[in-house]
Amino acid sequence: MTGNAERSSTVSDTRFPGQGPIRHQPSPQRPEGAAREGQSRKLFKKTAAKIGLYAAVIAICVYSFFPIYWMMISSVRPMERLFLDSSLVFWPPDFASYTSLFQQTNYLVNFMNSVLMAVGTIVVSLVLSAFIAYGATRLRFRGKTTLVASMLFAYMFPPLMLAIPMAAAFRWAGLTDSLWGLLIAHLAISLPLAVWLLWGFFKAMPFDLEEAAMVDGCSQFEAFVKVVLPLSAPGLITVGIFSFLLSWADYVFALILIMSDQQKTLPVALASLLGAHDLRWGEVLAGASLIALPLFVIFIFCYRYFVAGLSAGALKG
Amino acid sequence: MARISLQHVSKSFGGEQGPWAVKDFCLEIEDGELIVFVGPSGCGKSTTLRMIAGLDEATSGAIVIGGRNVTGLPPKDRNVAMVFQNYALYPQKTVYDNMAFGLHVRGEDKQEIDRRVRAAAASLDLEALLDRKPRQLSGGQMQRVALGRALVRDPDVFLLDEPLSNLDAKLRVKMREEIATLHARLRATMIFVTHDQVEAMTLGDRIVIMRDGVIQQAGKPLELYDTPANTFVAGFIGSPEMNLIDGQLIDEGGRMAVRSGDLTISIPERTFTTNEGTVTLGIRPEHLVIADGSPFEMTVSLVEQIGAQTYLMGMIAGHRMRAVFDRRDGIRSGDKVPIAFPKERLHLFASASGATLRMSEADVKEYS
Repeated sequence: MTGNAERSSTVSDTRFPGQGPIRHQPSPQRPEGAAREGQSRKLFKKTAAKIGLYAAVIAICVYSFFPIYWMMISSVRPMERLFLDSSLVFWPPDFASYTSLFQQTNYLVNFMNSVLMAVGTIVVSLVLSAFIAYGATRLRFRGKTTLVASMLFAYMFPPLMLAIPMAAAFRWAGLTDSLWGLLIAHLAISLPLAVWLLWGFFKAMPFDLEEAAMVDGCSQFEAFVKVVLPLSAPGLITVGIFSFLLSWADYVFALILIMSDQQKTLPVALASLLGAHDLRWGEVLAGASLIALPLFVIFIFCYRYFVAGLSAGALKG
Repeated sequence: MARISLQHVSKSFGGEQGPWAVKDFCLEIEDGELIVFVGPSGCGKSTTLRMIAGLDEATSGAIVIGGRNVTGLPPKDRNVAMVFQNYALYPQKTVYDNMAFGLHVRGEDKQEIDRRVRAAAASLDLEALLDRKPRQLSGGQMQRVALGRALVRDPDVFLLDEPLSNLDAKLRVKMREEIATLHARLRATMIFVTHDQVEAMTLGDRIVIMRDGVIQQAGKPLELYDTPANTFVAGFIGSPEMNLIDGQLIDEGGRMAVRSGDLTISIPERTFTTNEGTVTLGIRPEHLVIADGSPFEMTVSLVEQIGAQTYLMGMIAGHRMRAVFDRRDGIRSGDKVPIAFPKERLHLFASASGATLRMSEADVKEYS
């Protein structure tokens, strides 16, 4: 009651000509207890939202990483316990599967094949896509956008649909069972995406910079190499990682185009361990872990560029 | 430093058939001159500049810099330097490297590069900023770096493409002064492109006014102000715009006059050719005078006080006009102000073509 009496005394009167008094009513203050309650409710809501978000992120991470973790942990389990032990932590690790993998397969040769393919795909993709994308942004010709967009046409088909006609074409060209053929196949997949990504990148770059370089004394080619390329580092790194991923993890093209063991890349060589009668899961998991290892290393070092490159291409492409 | 000769230069982005961005551009630019290309957007001023730089190829005509025909040469072989509207500084390079880049590319000696970059930095007050990247600079600083990058090269010609338009009003005035000082010191041939007539008037030794790819008039700033070649130039130079009144040329008791509705204004003898019927009479707002007893009255509809001057807008005998006077405090909207049209300040143009009817000095002599 005392509170009410106090409030009514603060009401002020303002008189305007021809009007009754206008009362400026101060907004009623809530009792302190209620304010505190409101605040704590807000805090609770905020915390709950945060916890919810973290829980979702953790759930997604567990969902994505569990198979990988399972693969790695299983690769260091003794082979005889592979189907008996389902513990999530295993100590001490047993590398028998790895030793067996190296003894039974041409791991080093297959690894080198994979590295050759990946490096070749990265280098050729980077060089060609940079030139093609630059030409597509800077030269004027009719139907340019349609042409670049049509390069992504290949992604509408499952790789197998591309691989089979490719195998036929390569047989005709004498590239059957050849790493050159496989490199061309990998490029056919990596190049369109690479051009698309860099196209978005170059389009967003002001022409003025190259023109300034040309007035400064560069030819257009020098301006491209000295000014445009250094500024496109995030885009180039993204293209490099993409090309690496596509080539390194390719199974379908290598399966269709490569026959001999000496020419096989890691994924196909590994799959051939799974014979009809002999399932060597320990070696397969060890091999798969080794295949995944470089991907992790690269991603840890380059993920910043990767994300930057992707978002630049996505926003401005 | 060099003379520049632009001989019948034309540019079309759609091949020989046009439309023409620049048409039959002829101009001789003297060594050490600061020429301003001015005009509304799309008038071809930047395209002309880019053709001189070699960034756009001329569809026809010849560009000669320092006695050398550079028409087909790439930008790097023309020895020109350019300052771009958005500065175009290399974002990955420091201020020092931005300025040194052009010299590095040309294979200059390292010590010489260092000497020239530091000298340019000192003259533009950039010494403290040499290690910074462009993103750490303000607009005015970036503009100075862009100027410095041009300066170190010691080019034959400086090309400046709307270099001040990205700056705020205060900084623009300051940079304008700096460019004028720089030009006075270097006496270098400079071409400055702008759409701002104040920049053009204050900076240019000569001004070239362009419209739709065609030169409207080229001359000293005050020549353009005093004797505009056509209604476009008359309207473009001067602020507020010249008052233009369409009317008929009549003979009023042996004296020539222009009549438009209720307004009849006599024009000076022997100044204009008078064989046109329909004409446009022009008078600048600042040339109207308040004269008691004048037959013309302005009914004021708007008064703008800008400090030193008073701007009026109103109607004189049914014609909307502007007038500018030295500060007058007493005038209110709705007032009637007696206005006179001083004869010697009048301009006369042919209505159809917009071209001036002012006689050349030779014609005046012949006439008398």
